[in-house]
Amino acid sequence: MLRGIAIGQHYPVQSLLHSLDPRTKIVATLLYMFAVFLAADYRMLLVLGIYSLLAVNLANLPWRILWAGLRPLRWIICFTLIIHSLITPGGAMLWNWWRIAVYSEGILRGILMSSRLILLILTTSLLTLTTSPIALTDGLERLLSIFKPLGFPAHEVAMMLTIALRFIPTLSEEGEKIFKAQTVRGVEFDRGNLLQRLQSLIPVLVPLFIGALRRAEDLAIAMEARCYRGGQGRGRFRELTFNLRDGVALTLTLGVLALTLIAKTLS
Amino acid sequence: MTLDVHDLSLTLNPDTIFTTQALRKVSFVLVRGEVTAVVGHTGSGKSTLLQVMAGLQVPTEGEVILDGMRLYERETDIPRLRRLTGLSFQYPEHQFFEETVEKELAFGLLRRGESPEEIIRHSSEMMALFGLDSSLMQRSPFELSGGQMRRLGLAITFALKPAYLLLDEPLAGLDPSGKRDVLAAISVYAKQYQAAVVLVSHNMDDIAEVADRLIVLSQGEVLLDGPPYAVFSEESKLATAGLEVPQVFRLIAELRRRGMPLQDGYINSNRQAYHLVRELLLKAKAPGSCDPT
Ligand SMILES: Nc1ncnc2c1ncn2[C@@H]1O[C@H](COP(=O)(O)OP(=O)(O)O)[C@@H](O)[C@H]1O
Ligand SMILES: [Mg+2]
Repeated sequence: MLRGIAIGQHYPVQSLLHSLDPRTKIVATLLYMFAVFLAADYRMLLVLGIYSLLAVNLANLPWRILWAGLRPLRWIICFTLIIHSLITPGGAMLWNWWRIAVYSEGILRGILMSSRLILLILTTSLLTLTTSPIALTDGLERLLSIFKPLGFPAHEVAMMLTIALRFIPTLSEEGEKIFKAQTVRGVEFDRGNLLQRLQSLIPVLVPLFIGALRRAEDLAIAMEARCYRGGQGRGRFRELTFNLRDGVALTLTLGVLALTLIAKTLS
Repeated sequence: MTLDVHDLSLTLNPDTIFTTQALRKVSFVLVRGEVTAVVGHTGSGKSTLLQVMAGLQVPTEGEVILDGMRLYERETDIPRLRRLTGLSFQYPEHQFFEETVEKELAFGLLRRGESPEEIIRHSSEMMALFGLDSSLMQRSPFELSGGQMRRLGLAITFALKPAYLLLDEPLAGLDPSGKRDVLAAISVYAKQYQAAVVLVSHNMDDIAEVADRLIVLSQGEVLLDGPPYAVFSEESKLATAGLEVPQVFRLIAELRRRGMPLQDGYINSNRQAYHLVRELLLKAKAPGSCDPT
């Protein structure tokens, strides 16, 4: 059991992936996601899979942590596999019952779709696991400031994200505590019909929201007390640097994306 | 009729860099009618221990036996477990959600299927125990003062009348008079309902008053376990756990060192110590009396 570790929470160890510039990791993740959406056949997905295995290998993370990210979505992954197997015709018929038939094409397509999902989840959690929330939002702010001339509030968006990320572990811990406290008072969360189960969540959600509002107010006062006035004229403690390894990582990712594009146009 | 904790160990987040050994081979037996204080530095495992005792956190090793019933087994009778134990988390006032004080108090009792008369009886009994006026019943729990909120938060768990009442930092952030009221309620409850009360605290002065027994945790291990006077005489051991002996007990130790014949267990609480010192001072004033120095 992973107590007090939110899914995708930064896992601070030393590794090549940890040491990359956050901007590199954000851009590479976006490029990779684009490639996953483009990849239409299993050979291409195999290449993408190898690429992400390589990344996982360079990240020095225990499997337990990666599995924790996939676990909550395991039913959606299975569901994708089954639905695609059932609704896609073509190829040899493997199994038939009444009006339901499963074809070989369907199985292949199901595997394709669910592996896409797995790769997407794996890489996005890789990004958050290897990057501290501060570095992540710093990188995001720098990337988004490209749109500043168009009036995009890059700093404000980044600050909101920083705060949201900061409070995910706090609120999940608080939620768990309230959940336990109401269990002791006799709430049975896993009993009764759907309506009763939803009702049993009220004693958890109301205190959780009240707590979140209380924290928000405290935080606002603390920020004002330190003269926070938005992004204008703010210096930064950590400067981001783009190194050789960032160049290599981006080139590699671009290469994979190009390969996918070529495969796509050829087929 | 005891709560046995036997060789409890708990490892959180195994195989990651967040691994913590929260409890190490913790063993003790709680007897009904006694107030036990669990003390220890922040992070020593006090809250975790209470949760394991209340059936909320599966231990890695060891067992909890509640009135002969083993917890964390397939056959464990969960409703019986909930009926026997009550756990009040730190800051119980952060769990309020009902519209009125009355409903907040009734919530747990309703879940248990008590009759309306019983609910009213239990609720008003606990309001009185905590010195909360019955006129507050129809108020919103969020309109109460800080001290009243804490008392209500605790009363909610007391109203369930558990035979094993576990309280996590019930005194945290209370003013002296609030602390006195809560401590009094704890003593009365333990005697009146023959309940085993466990209260967690990191302040030694607070608990010296009410505890019949002290269990000192240090890094998940039981460092000391015994009546307050015995625990307080282990000043150097307590220092290793980052704890300080209450002022009066240091005074007693000093008196004894200077040749004052004081028996073990003669002084067991701040109040007794206070009376002893007062007596000594009065005697010292009288001509021809012995000089304690
Ligand atoms: N949610 C959690 N996730 C990970 N570790 C935890 C969590 N809660 C407590 N711990 C760890 O377990 C140990 C005991 O904590 P706790 O029981 O809360 O101590 P105490 O109540 O005495 O301050 C500490 O080392 C703490 O870091
Ligand atoms: Mg605690």
